[in-house]
Amino acid sequence: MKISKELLKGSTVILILSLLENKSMYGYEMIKEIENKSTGIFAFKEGTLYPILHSLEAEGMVESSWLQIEGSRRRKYYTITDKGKHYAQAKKEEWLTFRTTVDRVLGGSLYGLKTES
Amino acid sequence: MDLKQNRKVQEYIDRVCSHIKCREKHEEIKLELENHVEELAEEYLTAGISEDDALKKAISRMGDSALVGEQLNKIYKSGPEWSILILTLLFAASGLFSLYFIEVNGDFSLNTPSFMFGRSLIFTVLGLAVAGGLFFFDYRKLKPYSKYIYSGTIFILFLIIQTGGLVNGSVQHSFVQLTPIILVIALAGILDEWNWHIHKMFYLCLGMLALPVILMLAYPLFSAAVIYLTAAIMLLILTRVKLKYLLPLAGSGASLFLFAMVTVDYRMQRLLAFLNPHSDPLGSGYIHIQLDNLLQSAGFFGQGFTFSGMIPEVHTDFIFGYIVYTFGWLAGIVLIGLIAGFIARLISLAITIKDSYGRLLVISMAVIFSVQFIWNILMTLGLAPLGGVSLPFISYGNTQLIINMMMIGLILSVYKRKGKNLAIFSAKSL
Repeated sequence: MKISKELLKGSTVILILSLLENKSMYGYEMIKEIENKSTGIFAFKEGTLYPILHSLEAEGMVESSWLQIEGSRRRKYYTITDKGKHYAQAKKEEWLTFRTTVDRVLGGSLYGLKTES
Repeated sequence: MDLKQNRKVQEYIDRVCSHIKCREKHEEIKLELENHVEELAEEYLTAGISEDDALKKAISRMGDSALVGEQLNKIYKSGPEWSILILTLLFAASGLFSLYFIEVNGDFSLNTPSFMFGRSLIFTVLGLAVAGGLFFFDYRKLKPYSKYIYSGTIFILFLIIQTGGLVNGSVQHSFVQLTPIILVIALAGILDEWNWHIHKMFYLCLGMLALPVILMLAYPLFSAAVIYLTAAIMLLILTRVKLKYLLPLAGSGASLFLFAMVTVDYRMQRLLAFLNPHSDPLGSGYIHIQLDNLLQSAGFFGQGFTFSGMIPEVHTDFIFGYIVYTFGWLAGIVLIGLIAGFIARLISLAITIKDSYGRLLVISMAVIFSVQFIWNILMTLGLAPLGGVSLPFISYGNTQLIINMMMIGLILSVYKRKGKNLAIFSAKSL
């Protein structure tokens, strides 16, 4: 099943920040992690990850640093800042309220969907 | 796999970058995207797909180059820092406005230069052009030359004082007015790399602080020495120098001033006139008393264009007095508010700058502006001794105007590049 772009757009920031809460990561690693955790449902054009990461950095939510790995190769790692952690926390609470409210409103019809399938 | 050689990958990345106007970001973005494509392609290669197809698939997974480029461009679309620029223009405009009315309504007793308004207008435009040039100049290119800029400036200053005149006097005086700013810019570059663990560096630093102060006092340009020392001490505080070093450094600076005050007659007189203007009402106290009368008669909405020759040099150092007298305390308070906003904005802006050299530059420029604005207004209000300090952007003074605009250009140059940080750390630091 594909998720509509608009729905995904609103949640990528919180997905990325919560990934970074555990450890510093580089872009490709984040994409893989999101794909795995969402069992392939969340897949987006990978280049669009970078504008999100760069704007998070510009807003001071994450910090980046280049790391030298295996010979001449370098990777840009992103680390969440305290500001980013606070923001992620607030966004999670917002998401929780949103989710439970949508669930509550849809209530019956959601169950209907389940029984049909 | 070396992607630098692969035309398709490079084309894709170049297409992304073609949308990003901020050229300084290109290198980093290229490297980051290249890494991503490389990892993707390797994933396909291990799945047994040919190299050519692997790269094709990898690129298609990156998405539309125009979309990615446009989104990145929005983040790095770094115009000038508008609030600073607008405040600067407001100050310059209120200066021109006041100078125009001094010229039109004033009588000969004011002793103002001819075509004052026109000249000031030309120099405002020139100054803005200089600021624009510096805005596009990458300030980081200055840093490696800091030592040479510092020693060169000291050398010229020394020659000026020794020979008593190299070139035409006004050119020379302009240079001396410029020295605190040049030296502070150089000092920011030097102190950013300073190693306080080596003990003898303390004496070197003491010399770098004291020498310009001695030379400026000897020239003599008292206000320049005050401006330099204040900014230099601020730089020391920001580079986290230990208190045991800071106190003797600041103390020796202060004692230099004390020495300069006590040994030179007219400086003592000025100080005494400030403390008690009525002790010498026709001599040193005259301007203080006149300023006091002027401000008391100003009223909330001002006296209109009735100013005539009560104060000499009203177009330069005492223009704030003219503004309050003519347009009222309301205008004076608005102007003070704008100045406070300008200084606060400079400081809040400096905090957001990652590059330590850039941050030092912006803060030291903020200190230089603050000293001038605050001292000028306080001395007009009779709350500080007269010191030959003009009100930045507002007072008449073509050299000063250009110098102040240069400082604005430098600040905007730092702000434009504030996001860039290409430092490479070792893997252990994670």
